[in-house]
Amino acid sequence: MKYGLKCNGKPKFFIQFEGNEYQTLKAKLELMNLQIATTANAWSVGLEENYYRSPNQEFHTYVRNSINTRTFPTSTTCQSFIDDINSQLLSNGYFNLAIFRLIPDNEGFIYAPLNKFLTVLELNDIGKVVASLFAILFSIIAEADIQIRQSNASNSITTEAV
Amino acid sequence: MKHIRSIGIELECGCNESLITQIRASNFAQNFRYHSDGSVSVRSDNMSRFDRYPMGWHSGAELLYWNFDYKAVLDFVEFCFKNGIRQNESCGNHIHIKFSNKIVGALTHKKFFENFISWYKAFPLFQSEQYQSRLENSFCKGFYSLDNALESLRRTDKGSYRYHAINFNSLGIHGTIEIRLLPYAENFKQFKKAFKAVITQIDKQISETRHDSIIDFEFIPKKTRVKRDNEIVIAKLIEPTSSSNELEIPTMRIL
Repeated sequence: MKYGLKCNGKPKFFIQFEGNEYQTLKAKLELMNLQIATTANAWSVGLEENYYRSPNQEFHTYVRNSINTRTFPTSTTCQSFIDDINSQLLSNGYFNLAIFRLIPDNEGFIYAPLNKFLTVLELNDIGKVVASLFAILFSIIAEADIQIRQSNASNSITTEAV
Repeated sequence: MKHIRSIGIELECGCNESLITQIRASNFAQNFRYHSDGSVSVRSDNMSRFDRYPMGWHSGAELLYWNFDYKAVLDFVEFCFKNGIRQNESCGNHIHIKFSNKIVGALTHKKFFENFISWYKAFPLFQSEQYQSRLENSFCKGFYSLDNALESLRRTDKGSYRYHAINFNSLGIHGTIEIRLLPYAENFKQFKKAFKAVITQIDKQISETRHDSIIDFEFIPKKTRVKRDNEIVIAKLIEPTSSSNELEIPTMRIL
């Protein structure tokens, strides 16, 4: 997985999934009952995008609260967090966590348009948040996965959590 | 200049006190500052190394001026040369450039820095030792360091991390990018040619910005084997560990 900045014309933040990375994530998101929906105003710029919508508020709140407990002391870019696919990725110190909800294109890219070019420091700060975000997603998912496997394989000695 | 909002110049030089008085009484006064600089040492005309500095001579002067119009900056420099400033190998001419907030981030990436250095190395005007040696100068290092770029953008005080050919530290302090590469000039004509070449190139590079910056990181945890009858193990998995709290990007590769 890579993240970065496309500087070709209008700047865009991107995450690139490689190999079976997105398939792994997709399977896990669906395990958490997230459902595909469409918005016509993604990132507040009128983009039509398919994304994974939370069926209930609990998941949404858990993700946001979990990232709030992690501190990013040197970051001026990501001081607070929102999770709203219809808002900008970055605005006034807010970082939009909804980036993980997007579905990548055929080449494995998800994009979020930016209203300015990021400095390397801003890009680095966002990277730390995105890495933490996915760590949180996988920690939630590991719990659900293990519980399901435990109930389905009560006689086995070990359970694999992916 | 399409993307440049304003330009500032730092002329390191030796000059007479009378020049500073003249500037302070002129139209340049409002956007002018004077500092002394201990790393600069310039003797006045016809001085041997054993002579004492003449009365009123500033051997380590730093004359600072900015304007929205780069031609006004050139007028200022011309005025200084006409009124007796002298420069030597201990001097550099630093250019501060202010861009719109939307575009300035693009300059902090490795590709932009390296493209600029490649251009400087090959530009016909800069083929002499006077210009090429600046790339080896410890006050304006000609290579990009990501760690240094991050630190200089993070800090709002002046430190040694600013000693690179393009200094990002001034972004947090003055809102400018500082080009530290230009060496001393022997006269205004030489300065003008170099100055115009640099700001034209910077503006051109921004217009042609077509590079991507890519950073790798691993986010998918390794497969973890868990004993099924132990709830504590499950709890450990869902509880953020100290290491995940401080999750660092394992590898960085900015293209």
